[in-house]
Amino acid sequence: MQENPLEFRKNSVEALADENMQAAVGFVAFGFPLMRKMAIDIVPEFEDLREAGKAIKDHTLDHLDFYLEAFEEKVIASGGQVHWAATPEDARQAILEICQRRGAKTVTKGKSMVTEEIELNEFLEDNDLVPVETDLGEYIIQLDGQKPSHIIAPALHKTVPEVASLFKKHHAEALGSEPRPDDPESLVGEARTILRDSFVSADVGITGANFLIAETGSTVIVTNEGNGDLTQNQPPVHIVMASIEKVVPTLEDAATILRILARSATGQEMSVYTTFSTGPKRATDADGPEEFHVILLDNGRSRFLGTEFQEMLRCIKCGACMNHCPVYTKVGGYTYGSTYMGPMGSVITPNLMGIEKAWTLPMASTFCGQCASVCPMKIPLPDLLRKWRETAFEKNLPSATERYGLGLWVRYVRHPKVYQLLTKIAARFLAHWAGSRRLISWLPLASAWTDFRDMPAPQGDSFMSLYKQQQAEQKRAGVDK
Amino acid sequence: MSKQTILANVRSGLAKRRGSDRPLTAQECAPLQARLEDHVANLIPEIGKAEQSAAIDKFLEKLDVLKATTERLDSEADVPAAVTRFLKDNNQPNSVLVGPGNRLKDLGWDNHPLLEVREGLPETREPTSITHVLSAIAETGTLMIASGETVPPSILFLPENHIAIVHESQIVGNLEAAWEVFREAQTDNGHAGAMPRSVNLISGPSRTGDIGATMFMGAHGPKRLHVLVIRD
Repeated sequence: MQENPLEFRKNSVEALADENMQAAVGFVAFGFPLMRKMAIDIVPEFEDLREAGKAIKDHTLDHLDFYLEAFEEKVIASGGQVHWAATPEDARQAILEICQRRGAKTVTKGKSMVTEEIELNEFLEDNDLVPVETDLGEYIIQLDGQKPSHIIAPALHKTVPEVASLFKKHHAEALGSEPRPDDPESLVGEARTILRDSFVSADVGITGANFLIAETGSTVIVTNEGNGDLTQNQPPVHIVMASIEKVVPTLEDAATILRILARSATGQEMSVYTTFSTGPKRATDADGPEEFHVILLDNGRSRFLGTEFQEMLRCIKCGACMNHCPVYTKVGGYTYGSTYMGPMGSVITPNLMGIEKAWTLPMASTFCGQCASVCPMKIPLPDLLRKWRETAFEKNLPSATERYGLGLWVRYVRHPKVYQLLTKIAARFLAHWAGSRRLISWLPLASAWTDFRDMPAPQGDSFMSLYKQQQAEQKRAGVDK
Repeated sequence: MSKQTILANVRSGLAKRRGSDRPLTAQECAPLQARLEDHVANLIPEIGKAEQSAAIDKFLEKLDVLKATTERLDSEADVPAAVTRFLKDNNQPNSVLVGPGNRLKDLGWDNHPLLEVREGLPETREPTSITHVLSAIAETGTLMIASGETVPPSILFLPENHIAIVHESQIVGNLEAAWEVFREAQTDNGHAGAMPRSVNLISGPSRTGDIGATMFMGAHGPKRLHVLVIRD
């Protein structure tokens, strides 16, 4: 599997043959949508809550400059610092500078997709720092040198025996080499034991942020394990890595979005731990970090403002779009070859990497519309994917055959009379071709379909001619009345 | 300078809607500032509107769903006996920790000489802590706890068990109502400067589904959350 969106097709073939990945996406396709549905069915106002959430984000994005500066002012007033980072390199340097000034050696990390986006772990390692992922899923894939295959369940593709063997190998030094129980519950306990010492001995803790609150200068994390809290509370320095679109105006606005976030993500009404952090520990506090830093990353997000893509900046990274995507739930996260996967990833990645390096992702959609229908923020994902397809065609990125084929179809579809005549002939021809079995097992140019399954034969007439017949019958019936 | 670059990029993008890429004028900022100061609550669903006894019932019911345990008590004087029971039932060490200088130390533990009550910061492998809450939310079975001199956040996360004391009168319908309680408890009308280092919303014991897609309690935070609800 290659970390390259242009290898989507090749990667997807590998993913379809990977049994562990298939079991994982099978769970995603079944479990997550079911849990989501149960959690939203008990709130009859869910649609109105989506609208309310959307309105909050739209308002904030329309005045993003104001709310970012308001947020910064409050962070400073509560004793913290804000570092503006236009690029991933700016963000990495800001973090490194803090770590080096503190003489840091180990860095604990709460779950943060933005730190994946800026490839922070690799950078920290190159600079002689030891990053320790503390979210259990992130910890597991870090041990195996992998990246998340799902934004909220990063290690879903790892089977229990795989986790057991990773733990056996990596925990031998700390726990000895005698056999240890390898049932899932014991493995959770083992990770708890091992990471406990990392939490208290780390020099710096880095977390992401689900929200930034302009009113108070608070950063918010939403977790179930409690690792994020131990990451941000025990070390002497807390660094928050956040992107600029995370800001919302008030604590009440965050309350509204929290109602749709966990429901859409894990099917919970509320995640176990929602923590609002504001500044470093106060003079009289018994614990908490001495320093509080917020890195505000742009990395191309501001390019979306004022365009159709501004709607994408409402994304709260819940993962509902991928959980309901017929493509993601077959090919899994690694096929996309990018930090963000599924429908949201296919809109974000061409902006992060350039459409030239990621044009295959917007193509990997059936436009079924499930993603938009479950998105808590009502992001019109298929429309945005279509926009990227247009850009890709304008830039001649798809292959010549594909473009030629589509060009031919466009010419043909622009002449309804010819189109209707040809489809009528084709439908009759196919019905005849299929014979009495009414199934077509081989068709020129369609082997991708017919190699694996038969194609049902058209019943012999085109949609338009049936439609005309029906209209005519209704008209006669109307006259008879 | 990244700040100027980012703000310039934001403004040049928004210019397509605003018609100009200049910073907002004081006049344009005024309604935005007012929105922050008014911090009006948005739509609150019916499930968040339980009050009084219905809110208490809902709170208890939600805690049960979240796999927290509860016990109802007549007064704080009953807490030491309830804590002893909880520790015995769960086969836990006879030791509880309260925050540094926290008044929970003076709850009258003397009748339970076998129970060790300490105050201060938790050890790396602390067995059990006990805290009060600032507010409790019926809609989601959530505890709101603000950090401060006598409530270090580590006491909520390092111990294996967390016992929380909630008075019935502290139970409100929804998070917005809890923010109101919070704002009133702060000086300076609850605006920044009055925020503590952390406000923790806790809904049940720690859990993870990261191994084998099965839920297990006690990933990194407390394995057990026991809530003592005191009748008023």
